[in-house]
Amino acid sequence: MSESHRWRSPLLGEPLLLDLPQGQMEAFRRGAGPPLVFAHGWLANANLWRGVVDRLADRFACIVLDLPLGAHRLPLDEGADLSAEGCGALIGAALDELGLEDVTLVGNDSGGAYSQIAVSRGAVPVARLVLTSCETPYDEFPPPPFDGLPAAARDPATLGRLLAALEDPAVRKLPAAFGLLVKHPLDPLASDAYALPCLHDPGVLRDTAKAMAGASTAAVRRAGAALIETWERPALLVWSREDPVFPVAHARRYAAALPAAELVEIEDSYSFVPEDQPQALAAAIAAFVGG
Amino acid sequence: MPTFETSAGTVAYDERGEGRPLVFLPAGAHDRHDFDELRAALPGGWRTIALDWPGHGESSAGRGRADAMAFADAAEELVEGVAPGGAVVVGNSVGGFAAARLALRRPELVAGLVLVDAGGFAARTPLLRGFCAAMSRPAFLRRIYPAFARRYMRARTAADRRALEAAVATTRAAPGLDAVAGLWGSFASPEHDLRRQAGSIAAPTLVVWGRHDPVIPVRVGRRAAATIPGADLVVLETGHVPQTGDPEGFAAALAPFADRAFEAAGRRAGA
Repeated sequence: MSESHRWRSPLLGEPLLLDLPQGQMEAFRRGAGPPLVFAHGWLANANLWRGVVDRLADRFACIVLDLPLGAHRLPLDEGADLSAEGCGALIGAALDELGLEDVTLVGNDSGGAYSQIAVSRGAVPVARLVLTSCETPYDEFPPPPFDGLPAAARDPATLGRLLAALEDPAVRKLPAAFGLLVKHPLDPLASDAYALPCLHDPGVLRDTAKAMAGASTAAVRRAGAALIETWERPALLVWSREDPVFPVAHARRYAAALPAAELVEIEDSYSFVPEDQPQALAAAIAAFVGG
Repeated sequence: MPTFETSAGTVAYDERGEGRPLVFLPAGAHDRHDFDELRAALPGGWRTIALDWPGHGESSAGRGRADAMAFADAAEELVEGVAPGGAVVVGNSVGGFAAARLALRRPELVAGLVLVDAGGFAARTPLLRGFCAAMSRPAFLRRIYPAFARRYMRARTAADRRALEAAVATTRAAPGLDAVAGLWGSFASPEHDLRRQAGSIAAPTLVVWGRHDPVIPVRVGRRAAATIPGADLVVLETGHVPQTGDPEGFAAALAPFADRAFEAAGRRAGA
């Protein structure tokens, strides 16, 4: 059997193994300087950030999490809480374990939703928050056309049958799969690494089903409301102007509502901004953090 | 603009030229002008007829909830009305579904079948069902359609760009938005799945597919062509709407196919 589903880009740097209350989780670290921690969303993994890390590792310590959201290699403990709140807590636990200070947390897609939940829970050493094409308090979590996933995910076997279609690279390009998330062709290695792990490892599928079944619009609304109310640290929203899944209008509204947020709109990208426009995203992050 | 009464509503259509009839059925969200360049690129000797689906183009809102089967019924009634002796029926996407269903139900009306990135031949996976469910909700459909249409059009020609603009305009508001949402709501239904019947299509068949179609991938077309007895396959370097992406390439395949189809129909009638 091919190992392509386990591929991680060498651009991510050295692998780390984080011992968390929820189990063991992988992460990658490259570069030195002010710490940036990156959180991907469902059916993606650390690879999502490879092009961004490669452009920032000369000035920043880039730590990329490999969250248990469908494309990871190490299943968490069987009892791990992967509700929306639980995934927020997982990011918090990872930051704890990494022992970092003055962190800039960067989240994309559902990783952005979980980042907001993590920060709104407090008690994490996050100094700055970067959100890029993700759920806002005005979106559903998950947004259509993916809003059927939580119901399917209540039974891992059902979810497994649904995701089995992704075995075929042509299916992955359909609008029903990654077609409206990634605008430009995905590197086949990254594509395999996103689409196949759930089909190869029942533990990975179990984690994924828990996270998808546990998605909650209310949790993101609560987190967003708390951030708008109380989070006065800097926030940067980097949004694809033509994002079909997370409308830029919601990002504009959210940036205006947050106490200290700025919005950078970028062109020629869908929601997987780190895949479609790593250069523009890296430049926006560097300008925001001041590297 | 002539109109025709169907069970799905009043449909607008146009007729050009004299000769043997070719009927053109557009994709959902699209209108009959998608075939303008193809019709112009055909040699003389054809009477070409193209319709606007209910809620699309110059047709009024349909009767009842739009779905692929109701549109196929409308196409069947129109072909019977305007070309009772039989036509070569060319259908793109849901139009292709309608044409194939017509060939199965009323073989005497279909001298030749041309399936163009046609619906009805893809596997109904849970993934596809979920996407169809989302697309059947007007608010989501309206939001997603500009990006979705840009993706499937892969616009390179002026005709592509016109079709893209018109399709987006159709999904901005009622009645087009509701009609297209209704269509998507039916694409995952068992009645829309023609795969098991495809082997019974008796009409001479030409399958035309865009190699870069991201909605119904080209291998669905290859499989349809392999299943339908005697079908020919032409793959063009286009997205989901080959007649605007490469009208000359399409016409070069269509004209000789339609000639052969009518010759064969004449032999059958004479026999």
